[in-house]
Amino acid sequence: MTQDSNQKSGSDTLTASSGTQYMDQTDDAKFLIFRLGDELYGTPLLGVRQVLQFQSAKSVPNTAKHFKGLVSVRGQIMGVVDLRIRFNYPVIESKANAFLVFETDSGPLAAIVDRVEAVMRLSEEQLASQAQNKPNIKIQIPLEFLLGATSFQDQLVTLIDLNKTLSSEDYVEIQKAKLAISG
Amino acid sequence: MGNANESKIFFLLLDEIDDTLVDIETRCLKLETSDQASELQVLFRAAHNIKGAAQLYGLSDLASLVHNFEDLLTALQVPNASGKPDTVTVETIDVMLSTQSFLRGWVTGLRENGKFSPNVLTVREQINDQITQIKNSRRAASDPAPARATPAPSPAASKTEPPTKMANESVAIEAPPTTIPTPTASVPSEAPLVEPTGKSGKKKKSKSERKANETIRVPTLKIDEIIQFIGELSINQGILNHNLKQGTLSEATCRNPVELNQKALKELYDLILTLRMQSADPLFQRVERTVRDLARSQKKPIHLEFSGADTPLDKIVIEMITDPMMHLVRNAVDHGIEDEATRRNSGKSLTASLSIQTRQEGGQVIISVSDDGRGLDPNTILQKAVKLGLVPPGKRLAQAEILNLICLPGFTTRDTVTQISGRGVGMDVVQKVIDSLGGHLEITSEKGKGTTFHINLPANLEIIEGLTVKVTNQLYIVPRQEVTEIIDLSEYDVRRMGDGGRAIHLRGAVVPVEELSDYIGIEAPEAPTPPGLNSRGRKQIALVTRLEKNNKVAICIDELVDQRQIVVRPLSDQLSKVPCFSGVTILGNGEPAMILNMTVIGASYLKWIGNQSVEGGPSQRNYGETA
Repeated sequence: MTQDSNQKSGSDTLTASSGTQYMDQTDDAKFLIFRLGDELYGTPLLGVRQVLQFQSAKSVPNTAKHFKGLVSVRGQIMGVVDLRIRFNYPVIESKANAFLVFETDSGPLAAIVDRVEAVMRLSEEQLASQAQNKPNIKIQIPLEFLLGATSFQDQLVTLIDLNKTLSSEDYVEIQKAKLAISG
Repeated sequence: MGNANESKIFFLLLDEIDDTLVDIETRCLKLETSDQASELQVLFRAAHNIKGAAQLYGLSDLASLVHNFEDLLTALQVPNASGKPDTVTVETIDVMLSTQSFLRGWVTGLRENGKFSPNVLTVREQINDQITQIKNSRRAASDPAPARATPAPSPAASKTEPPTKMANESVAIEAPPTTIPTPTASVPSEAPLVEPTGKSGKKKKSKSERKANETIRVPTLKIDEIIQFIGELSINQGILNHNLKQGTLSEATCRNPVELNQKALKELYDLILTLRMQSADPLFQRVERTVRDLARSQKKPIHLEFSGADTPLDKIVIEMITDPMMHLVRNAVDHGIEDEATRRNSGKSLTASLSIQTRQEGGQVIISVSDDGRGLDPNTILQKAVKLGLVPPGKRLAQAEILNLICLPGFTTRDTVTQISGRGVGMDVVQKVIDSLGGHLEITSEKGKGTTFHINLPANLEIIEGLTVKVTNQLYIVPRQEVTEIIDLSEYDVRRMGDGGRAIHLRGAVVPVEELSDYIGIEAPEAPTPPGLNSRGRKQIALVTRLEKNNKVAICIDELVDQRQIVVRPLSDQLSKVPCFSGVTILGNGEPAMILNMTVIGASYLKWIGNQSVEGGPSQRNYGETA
């Protein structure tokens, strides 16, 4: 996926990492910090393929509310998950809304976030100590995908492995009675 | 692995060696039946080619083993006292085949590691043994008292074969038939299907690596055709460019080149798809080899028959179906075909027959594997399934359903595990592979007469004729072949049924009318109803689709947009769980659209109706009866 990191088409594609950094050995400890509502979250940078501008998705019937549907990114079709709905934040349209594209085990998946803030580096030791210190937050994800917490510009950042979280979720939700029976 | 270009040549070389080895296998198998002298000559030439190719790339160990193999061939060609070469013995052919397998394993190893070099001692010993034997027997032939040839490979020798050979799938069948099946040998026989956990991770990686080096053989004629199409496309593009520059771009000037390009693109696409279509010959050859070796080791004479080997199949299909086919064939020989004594007692011909048939039927390719063995006994299967806890006791099942139980994970009717099969793993994997290719497996069997497995696969996986339809302001694709007709409901008398459903009379049959939006509608802010629509805010267009038992259902859509050829893309794992959809495509405007699976909608409808009547609702409607 390195060709994506070489591609910079103005404001519309904001690559998650720039060239040489991508190959950096210490990548494991880099986190992409993004905002949902008033709070900050971080996810391992290595799991993020690219960051794209928001685009509207084609709905898919009988899927969960936070599954916004499908988008085509340069000919590749991927699902879109609205993290704001998933983590119970109000959906406010803004120009800063962005897609984080994850290369999950079951194909690419885009996640809508309110704003991408920064990339931050955590040393191995910091990360290890974080693992003991999992915050008690009210988002429903398995504890194993919760990596810990840190601070960024004096604000608490919750670290989640979104790639694994999104891969492990099921987006089917039958809404039509006539389909419910076929189960 | 050196520079890129060099490794490319290296892989081409390995491909070539592999191809030649396949040829050697064919010839060895033919040695048993056809004119030996000419086959031996071809074999010698093939071996020589491999030797040359190996030396070219400094694979001297491999070359020297092939040289040994050549010695064996030379020994076989030496005429005896009567001036004609002796008949090649079955033991010699065994050694030749096991050398061939060894070399294939070697080449496979080289693909993963350019420095791969297995222990050749055992194989070399076997070959030399054979050479000595052939020479001895020739000498003995001139003696009045013929000395009995001892079986060439000693069982002990075969056990010490280098473990690297395990990488080769055919390892189980290459064990010399004179040896007694050892428990260790039974593992690899099923290994390719179950993917042993230990090496699966590593194997996966090398598979994707290999994909980059994968090659396909293309007839030059096809390349010429492709170039011709590209020429056509560029001419039309040139016309468009010219008009764009001149500012004369209009419908009149564009229509022709655009239409021609559309046609050329479609034909080009079809043509390129055919490049992926390959003959299934290599698959059949592996089957032949497996059957031969199994027949020998189990002492069951088998007549193997192929038909339709020239039916072209998608390269991916061939690759994926190989292991399941091997499994079915092994099952047929091990479970299906009886031993000679049993066959004699039941009055069957002693030579069992196994036939493999490939044929194309409409959009499907059907591969059948049938044997004339003991057949499957529904009662035994059902009892076993109940015993294994796969089926609740007392449940009533139709014969076809019972036969399908053998595809459940963990099912086996064998009480003992043999070298070949009986572990109850396999049939479920066979089923899974076929499912993943979008096909299905059908089993028919008659007790005492034999069993047939039909593998139905879609012939062409990628492009379909699709109708673009609009439902609750969303565009979907309905595969054209799933729609029997498109009707305008305003021309029919739509009646309300007692249970609230609607139905029409269509050429004498009662056809229920359903709304597609009841299955896949999206509650979106209502768009203003355009004029000319019916009271429900919908146009009266319905797609008629077939239900089971020739019944039909008319499914109302909001709008029929167009009909076009679409490229089907698979859904991601998560999305493939969403009901009613079989794939996704990209529309002309660049937006994605889901492809509907009308069969699932039809099945949901039937279940819905069935459920309504069970719940004490109005009596079940009987569709399809003439009114």
